[in-house]
Amino acid sequence: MRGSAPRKRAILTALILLTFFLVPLSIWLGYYKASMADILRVLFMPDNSPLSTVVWDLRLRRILAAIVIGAVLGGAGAAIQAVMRNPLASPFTFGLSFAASLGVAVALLILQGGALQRYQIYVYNPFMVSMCAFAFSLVQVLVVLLLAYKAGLSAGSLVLSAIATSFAYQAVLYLLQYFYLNEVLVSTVVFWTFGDLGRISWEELRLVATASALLVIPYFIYRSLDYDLILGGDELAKSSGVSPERLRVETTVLAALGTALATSFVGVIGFVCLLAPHAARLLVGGGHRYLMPTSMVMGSLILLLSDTLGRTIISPIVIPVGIMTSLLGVPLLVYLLIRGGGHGYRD
Amino acid sequence: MVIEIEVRGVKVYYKSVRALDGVSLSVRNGEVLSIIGPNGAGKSTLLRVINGVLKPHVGTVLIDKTSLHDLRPRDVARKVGYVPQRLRATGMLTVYDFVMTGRRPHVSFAPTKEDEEKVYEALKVVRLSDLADRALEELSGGELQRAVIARALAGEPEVVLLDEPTSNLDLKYQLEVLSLVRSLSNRGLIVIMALHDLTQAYRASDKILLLNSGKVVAVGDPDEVLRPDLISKVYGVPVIIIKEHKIIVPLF
Repeated sequence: MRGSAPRKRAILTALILLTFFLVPLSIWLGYYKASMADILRVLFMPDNSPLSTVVWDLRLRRILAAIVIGAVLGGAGAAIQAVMRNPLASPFTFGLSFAASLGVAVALLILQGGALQRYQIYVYNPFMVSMCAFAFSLVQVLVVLLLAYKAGLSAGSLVLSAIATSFAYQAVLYLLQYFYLNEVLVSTVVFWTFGDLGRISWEELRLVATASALLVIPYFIYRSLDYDLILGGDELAKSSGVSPERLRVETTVLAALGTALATSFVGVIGFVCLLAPHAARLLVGGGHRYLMPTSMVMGSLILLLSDTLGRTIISPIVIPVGIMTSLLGVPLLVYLLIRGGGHGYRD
Repeated sequence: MVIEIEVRGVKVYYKSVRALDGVSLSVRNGEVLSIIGPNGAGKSTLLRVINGVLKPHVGTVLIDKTSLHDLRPRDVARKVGYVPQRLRATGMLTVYDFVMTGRRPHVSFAPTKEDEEKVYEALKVVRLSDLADRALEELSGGELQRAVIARALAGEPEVVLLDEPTSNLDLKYQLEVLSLVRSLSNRGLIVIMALHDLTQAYRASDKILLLNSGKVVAVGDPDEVLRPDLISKVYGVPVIIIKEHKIIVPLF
């Protein structure tokens, strides 16, 4: 091993260790106080005590969700930035958040129709809402890919078709709000768009974790060298025997799958996709062999830190993690902007 | 061992336009062939055909008697290294990372120790070993072009294609790149490049192919192809050729 590889490996290892170290710390922090020893005890030997419930059902679940979803969003951001050759691209560039919001609105409308005799707030069926958001997100990605396919599957055609369809979703959503949704439903849609890790159930977490661990994350890691290659242009990729169109489609589908699953269970947490790869690039440079795993760990760290801060700064009120990541992320992005070349992409 | 690349009667159409119209040529290892011709003559298209990226409508490309277009893209990439005309460096890749992408046709999962060695060998050939950890964006024009050539070499090809390797470079870097190209053919590679500059083509090539509107006007020894009458006819500008210094001067 020569050159900068040992340093990059050390940074990656340090970040992974930091994430593990933060797990018990994050469980310990919160409104319900307990000693670290007690927390570690119920963590390894759960019982029926209130502490065990707090640790397992309130805190550990959202911490694991932060790690899994952070890794998916960080990796998806890095992969999409590479195949689009654009530092501002992310899975959300494809209009996923608009499509998902529309899915939520539609789900609420259908549910309301089914159970009129009750108050709307009790009608709320989280799994149905999630599935609708997921279905709409997937449809959105397929439509974008189809339109872009007609235009040759270049990076530019993907972005343009995404922008066009996003406006359509927004218009339909506004139309629904204007004609059909009442105040409670509108505010439910708005509330849902504030990403919140506390919302995810164990079953949903298991689903996201399985899809990520078996499909999304291995694919991104496997394609690391190809992401380096496609940064040099489509022509260069083709000359090395790699189809840029296929790489772009597969990456888009898997990034969208991971992001849509996460979004439909916890709401919109968009900023991590931008922030994690940029922060990782500052630490380990642009080569995806180290950038990809570092972006994933960075995503986990950012989500975990933001969520823990959101739970503790004005406790017992919890600030949704989507708002926290934006608040914390803006200074970093502004710093990267002013530093110029640091973001690694030039016009 | 003699390796030969042969282009036989290649025709390529873009809609109704004939980009290449019955082009044939052959080059052996150790030879440098330059493709010259005015803008739109079909130089880049011909390179893309030899590269395996563009399948010709008629005709074929043979390397060692094997048709290139019967091979998988990955196997073509193992035989043919490509140096694009202008690389837009982006994404903070280091020189090492970038050159490693040239190993792509040989890598099945992740790069191995052997791939790493090949990358450092290629960097040594182009004298960039000291800059392996530098970001591409920080390189000078000449260094970047050498990095792109190292990338092609890292794939251990039999043929290296270069698309206008000296454009956008200062004089000193132009000479540096051309002497590097010569060293590649001395290592036993087949070198095919598209060139704008006729004097450079004159000095750097063993063979020249003159293209005009997709047709071969002349092919062969530089002294045979680079004749004032042919050049004037194809480029529409009268020229003087000073043979003893291998210089071609347009008259205007």
